[in-house]
Amino acid sequence: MQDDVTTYLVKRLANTIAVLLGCSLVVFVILRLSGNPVSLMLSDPAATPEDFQRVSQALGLDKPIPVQYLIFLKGILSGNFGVSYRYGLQAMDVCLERLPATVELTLVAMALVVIVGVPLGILAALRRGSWVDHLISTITLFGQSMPNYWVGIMLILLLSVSLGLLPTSGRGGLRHLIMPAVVLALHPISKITRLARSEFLEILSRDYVRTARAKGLKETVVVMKHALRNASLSLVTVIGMDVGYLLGGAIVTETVFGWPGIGKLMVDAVTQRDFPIVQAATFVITTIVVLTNLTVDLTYSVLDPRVRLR
Amino acid sequence: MRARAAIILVLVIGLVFSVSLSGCKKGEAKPDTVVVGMSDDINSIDPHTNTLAPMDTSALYPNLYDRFITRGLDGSLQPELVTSWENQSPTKWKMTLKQGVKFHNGEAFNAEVLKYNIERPNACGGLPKHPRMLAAKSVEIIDDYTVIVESAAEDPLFLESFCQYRAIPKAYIEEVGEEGFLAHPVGTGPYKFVEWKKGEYLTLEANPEYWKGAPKIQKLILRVIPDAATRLAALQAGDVNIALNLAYDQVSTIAEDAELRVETFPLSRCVYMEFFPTSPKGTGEPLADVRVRQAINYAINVDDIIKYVLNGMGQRITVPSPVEAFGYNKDIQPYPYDPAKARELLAQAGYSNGFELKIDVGTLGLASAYEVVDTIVSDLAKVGINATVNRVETAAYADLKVTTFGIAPFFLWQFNGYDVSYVLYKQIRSGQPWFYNPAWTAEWDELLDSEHFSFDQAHRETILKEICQRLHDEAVFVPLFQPLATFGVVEALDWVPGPEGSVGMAEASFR
Amino acid sequence: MRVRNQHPSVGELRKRTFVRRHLRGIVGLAIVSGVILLGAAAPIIAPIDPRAANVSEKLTPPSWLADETVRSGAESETGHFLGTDQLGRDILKRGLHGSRVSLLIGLTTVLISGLVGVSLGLASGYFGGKLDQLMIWLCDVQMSFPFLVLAIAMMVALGGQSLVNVIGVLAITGWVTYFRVVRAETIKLRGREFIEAARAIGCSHWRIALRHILPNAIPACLVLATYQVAQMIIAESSLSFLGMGVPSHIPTWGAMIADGRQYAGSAWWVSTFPGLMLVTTVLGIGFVGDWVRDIIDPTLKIT
Repeated sequence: MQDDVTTYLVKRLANTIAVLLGCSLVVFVILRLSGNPVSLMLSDPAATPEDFQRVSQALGLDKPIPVQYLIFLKGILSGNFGVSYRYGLQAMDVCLERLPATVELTLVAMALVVIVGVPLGILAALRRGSWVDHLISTITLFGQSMPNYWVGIMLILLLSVSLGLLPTSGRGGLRHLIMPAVVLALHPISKITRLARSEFLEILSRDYVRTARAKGLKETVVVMKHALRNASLSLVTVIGMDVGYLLGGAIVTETVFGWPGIGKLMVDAVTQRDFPIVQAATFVITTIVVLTNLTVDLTYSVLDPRVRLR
Repeated sequence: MRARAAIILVLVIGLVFSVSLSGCKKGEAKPDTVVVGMSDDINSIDPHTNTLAPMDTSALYPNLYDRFITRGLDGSLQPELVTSWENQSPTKWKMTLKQGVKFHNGEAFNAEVLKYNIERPNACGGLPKHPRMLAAKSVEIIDDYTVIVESAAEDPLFLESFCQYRAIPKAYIEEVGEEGFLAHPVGTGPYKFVEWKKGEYLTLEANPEYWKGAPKIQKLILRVIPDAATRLAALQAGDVNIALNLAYDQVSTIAEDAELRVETFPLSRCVYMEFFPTSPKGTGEPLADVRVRQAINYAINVDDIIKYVLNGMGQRITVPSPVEAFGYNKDIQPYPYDPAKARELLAQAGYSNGFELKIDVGTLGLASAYEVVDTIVSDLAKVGINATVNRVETAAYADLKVTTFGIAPFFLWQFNGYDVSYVLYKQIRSGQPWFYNPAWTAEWDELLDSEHFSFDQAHRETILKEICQRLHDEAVFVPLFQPLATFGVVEALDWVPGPEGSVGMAEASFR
Repeated sequence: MRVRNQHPSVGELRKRTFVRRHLRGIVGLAIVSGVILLGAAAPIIAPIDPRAANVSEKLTPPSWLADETVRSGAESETGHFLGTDQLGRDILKRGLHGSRVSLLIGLTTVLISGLVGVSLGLASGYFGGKLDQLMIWLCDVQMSFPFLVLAIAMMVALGGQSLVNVIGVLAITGWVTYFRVVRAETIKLRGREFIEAARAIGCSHWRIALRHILPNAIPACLVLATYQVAQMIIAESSLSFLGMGVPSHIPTWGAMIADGRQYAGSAWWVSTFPGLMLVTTVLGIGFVGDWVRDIIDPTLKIT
């Protein structure tokens, strides 16, 4: 058993490195194909062609792409992701400084998703076909149908400007978290609710559930103990996937609410061609996503001993 | 069971809500603190680089650092840390420094510091210095407060570049290193650095020993609010006292609010459309004909664009240069809006059926750039020119124009500068890096060279005015406007924009 | 007049149950067909010149709000039913045309990503081995890579905005889910006896894959496709918000909402009406998706 786990972890580690390399390569190439950052820096009337040469050299951009990639890889091995063209600071430091904000927002949003979405899905399954089911499905679908930047500004106008209840933007305490977390949670809640509903519909029709009901156990017990345990597998998978997705993709929410997260940092860096930041941020986000997937898979085997680690 | 669960749920929600509502108040600023809402995070703390953003968008630099030579509100050069300057030879400028100025760490500002500023090879982190910072090559020290600055080339426009320098301390950086400086910057300005949370906010506190007198506002918080709609909401909700970079339509919303007001400032930026008949993207051939270019000038209703798209917040220009720039010819009348004349000219040139035209546009920091070009497209359609707009993202746009020369035959561009030659020389004189002059003849080069290298200001002014007239007659560009920078401000704050539209708080106070 | 206590007949009961069970599906279908019809008819009933901008009429309120004073003082001369946007273009007309583009984008991206994902999933699940490992790795890379950043980087690399680029970018991000579903199904069926039997009698791989395995995967893919259409329309809207959407003269709901956001407190109609159109359509598609899933197999775990 111990060997199994070790082999598994080693295999996953190898996989992680392969994925990290793959992502970094993709990003590297796309960035360099997307044009020369020096042009943006030197669109001032005072710039000369000599400036181009000077700046390109200073930033190491005058070398051929494969050479640049090798230099980059060498740098990674010593933890150096380069100096940000924009800030003049170590790119990885800048990214790591912005990471906690994103993690905080993601966790709170996902907590909302689980606390709200799962019970709603269960309720919809239990009351299948009734008006409760229809209502829940409609409301959650509604949440998924609106572009979240629009919902964001509407909430800000209502709750901040008109009613003065919440701050408009930025990061701070709980009050700053409410609106962005709600906006971020809207789409995943719909997914989770639907999934929970499907899961429970399947489980509730199983024989052992019928047996338990026939035995007269209280419905709550039946649902909670047995069904939840079984449903949690796929729920955990999707939640894990969502966490990974949100960690890197909450750009829209971060922009609307001025949330100082790593997603917005990355997008700004892409727009401004700040290569070191893009590369460092990709690395961070990819690592987190892969680690999240690993955690999900390990949780799998804990929740269901029948599942063998591949 | 269900009812109980429902009740508990409601109670929990209510509890959470009341906790969050407790202690809610409108706004965070106390009467001695000003919060500024910026559209973008600060770039490098080091003012000698800042290559990734237009120089005038920073709210940080005017408060933390001082310039050697600054600009007045009318764009003219004014003494600051350098009290007087004298041009001794085509490359040498003698300068006298202000005495008694101290950096925030107590270090004195003197000739050694100036020399260090100018002769550093790179900015912090090894980043390249901004091109304007390279105009000065070396410094010869005469005494503690007198120097001779040597420019890299013979350049009558040297001071245009030199005025971008802001003083950073020499001994401090030698002591804490460049990382130390970036972590805790020090300057001579009215405010001292406190902390910077990247992407969130940057805090400054007043420098009571500021050489121009202590500022009244004690604390300055520069907050990052990237979304324009959110930024406006923050101003309305009282979360910020000043909102930068608002869109022109948002400004009208502010004008209706009694507790807010709008401040404007004419930027040294000029926005215009440029012709590139030999563009590799094609459809540019008709633009080689001066009649076609003039027709396009007649066809576009620039006054309406300023009135409706900019909500009146721009001044019309007749050449691609700010009105206040040296050499601007105020006697030229702009092309009137005359679609009939446009059609006539097009027919004369052989395009009575119009033609297809590709247009490129990037925002380049102008909030309404897309609307401006969309309106232009509509105007062109009315005279038979079928234009297609390609919105290019800013970095790629710079690449197209500056590096690959792959930009469309008709495109939007803008420049900053207070001297017509500084802005235009590279674009209309052959052999220059950004040469796009469809009306070029050798005569242009002679004229331009005769003024660009002359130190005789009167001579330069005459020639520049003539060049302006030619640019107009031959419709080398479609000059549009000089946009006003807009600021949303709370009524209670007594503040006006500084030179070049900067957000300096040294003179501000609450009423 | 009906007597209250009269019991409904069996037929009546059947009808009521049918309606109750399929209510959302019916509503959804009605909405979607309505949108498609209106979109198809748009060039006829509401022709617009995509390049025409009438800035002097900008931001006029809807004509049925006649008492609302307009800041710029412009009177709505031709009576814009839903008002005009920041360039003076009629919102109702643009909205109708926007439905064409939005649906086009949604359907095309789903078609492309579906085809790619399904074929790759079939091949990968069926043949296994190195191909499978490569595909899985590719999936992991793409899943780990933040979608919007990938989209932006690709748009930038593909050279700017165009309808084709937007469709391409969205399609590339969508194939992975189909791939996973079809691959899982293929692997499940691959070891079954009837497949072995088919091989024994000499069926080619193609035949087995297409005739025996694929039909089992299709229902799940159908459900997935309906959800994805809605997701793609919203994704295009996010791209527009970030300035990476389609060129400006092509109206899409996403771009209209994004452009109108800054007027949310004043000229609210610029964002709100396209927003309502978007929400209604996506909701309708979602209803249809749920309904299809309920019919095929309510326990399907397609999200």
